[in-house]
Amino acid sequence: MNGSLEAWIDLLMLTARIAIGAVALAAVPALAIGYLLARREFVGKSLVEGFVALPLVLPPTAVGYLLLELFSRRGPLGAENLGFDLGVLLTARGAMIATSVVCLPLISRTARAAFEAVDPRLESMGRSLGLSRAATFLRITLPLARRGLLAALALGFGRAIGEFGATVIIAGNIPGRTQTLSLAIFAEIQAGDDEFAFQLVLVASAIAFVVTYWIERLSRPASRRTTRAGA
Amino acid sequence: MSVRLECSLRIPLDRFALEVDLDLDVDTLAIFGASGSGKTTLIESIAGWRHPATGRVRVGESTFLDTDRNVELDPCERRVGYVPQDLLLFEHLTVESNIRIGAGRERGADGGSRAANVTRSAAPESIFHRVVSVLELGGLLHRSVLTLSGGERQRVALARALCSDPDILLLDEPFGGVDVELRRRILPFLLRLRDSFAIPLIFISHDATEVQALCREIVVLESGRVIAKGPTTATLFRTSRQAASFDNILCGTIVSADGATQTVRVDGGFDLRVTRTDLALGQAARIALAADDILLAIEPPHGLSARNCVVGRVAGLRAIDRHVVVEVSVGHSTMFVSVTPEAVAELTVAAERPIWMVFKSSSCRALDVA
Repeated sequence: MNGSLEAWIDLLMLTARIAIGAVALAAVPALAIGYLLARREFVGKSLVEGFVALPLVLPPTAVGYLLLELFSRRGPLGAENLGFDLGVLLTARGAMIATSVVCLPLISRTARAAFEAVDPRLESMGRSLGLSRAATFLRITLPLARRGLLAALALGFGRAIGEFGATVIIAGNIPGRTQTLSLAIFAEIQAGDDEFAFQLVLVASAIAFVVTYWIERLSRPASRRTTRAGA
Repeated sequence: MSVRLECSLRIPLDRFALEVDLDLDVDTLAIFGASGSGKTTLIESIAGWRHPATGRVRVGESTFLDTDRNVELDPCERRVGYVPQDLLLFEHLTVESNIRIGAGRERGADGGSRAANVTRSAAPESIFHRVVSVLELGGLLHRSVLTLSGGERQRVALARALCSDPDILLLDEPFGGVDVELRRRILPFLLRLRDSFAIPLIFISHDATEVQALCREIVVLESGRVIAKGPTTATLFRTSRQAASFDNILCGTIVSADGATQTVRVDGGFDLRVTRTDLALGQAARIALAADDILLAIEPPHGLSARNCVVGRVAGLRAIDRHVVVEVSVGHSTMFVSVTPEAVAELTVAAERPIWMVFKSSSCRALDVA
């Protein structure tokens, strides 16, 4: 990548596109898993818990390797098996999928905590007032867990911006196509352009700061804000 | 308006098992007992919040639970208006949204055969307006529930339960954890609610006064078992262990007012002078008078500053907690007076003898508000 304004914009847009796409992809399953783990008892729950936590502790490169096996030409979701190419390898789509797999456990764990923070008796109250399960979820649980869930998504987004290992294996490091901010830092250090790498690091730090600030704000209890507003 | 309640439950708890067999017509029923006696568990099993090991619960024509036949009605189908002790208001909603959240649910085809109540078949909108006016919530509707006072929160929770058009109302300690002043303000609303919406009501309490003021019948629970049931005052008289908590609840009408006092003509047929209330002439009044606040005399007393002297006949005596509670019949009603055993001996209080009860107008507390 060169240091032109255009290249900067392209890099940041691509990074944002992949991160947002990854979070969007992971959001629904992650929230669903978080809700199920928070509220339901079922056979094999601890298995699901372990499976969801796996990408959190597994090196991202290992996740990348497993995804590569899955999507490679002869893999279960490869072109030979499906009869057509999903266009995952060495593409932005692939980067999005790899990133979403890495983000999902983080989002679902934080979402689980957010759902657990909602008093289940409030849901029982909704049911006694005649609301169906779905209506109780949409009108009571979801709005009450809202802040925690937004924090979960913000955390996922932060993780997505920093994703490296799984992405580099699935999508490579192609400037303008799959090269995100964190991949660009790696590439510039490899190329020996320390000054440019430093600029990239500064931008990455700024983004990280904004995201953490946001998460911090969301994680604060709502009542404290109210008191401050009222004071 | 009453509804048949059949309730037969076995629920293992930490220190004992709740074992209850009840079959009665509920109009206003108190579940009375010390804390930890299983009252909340019982009421939450009726609401479907607990899952008893075995049991059967029927309210009116509707079977809520029958573990033998594998029937368990979903809480949202039970049409139970439950107001728990912690109220569980939805803090993300305004007062109005809280009240309306359960409003307008459909009555099924079988709805007609269920317990009848006055809100039945009324449009949700008209129920809403009545509830808001009876509970005086008009000025609060757009507030966040986070900004309400304790008493206001209570009324919002009651309104929300009423607006869901329930067949039965379950109130868990509406006076629990609130100060005396607040209690005094909530009781009139409950009385008003009972009188304006003829919904069968089950009310948990460990306070004898409230139970006597609100409920026709009582079930006394102790360590998960029913130790007594029946008409409220008589049952309390038989089972109470605290003479001090005994109150007389006298119902009547304000008939005259002069200076600092008003006169209430009690339904039993005698007059009471009470400290002036904000109730108008002709209005119904419920007066609480502690059994402790009454003096007894075996002859007509003279030259008293106390404004009330009512003559009755001793109907019975019962020793409770180092006191003797004397049951006195006056006209059609019964009053209770708590005195020491020494006083009973010295005055030779005995059954069937005439007795004069002396008490101050300021000892008579009006439970209603204008």
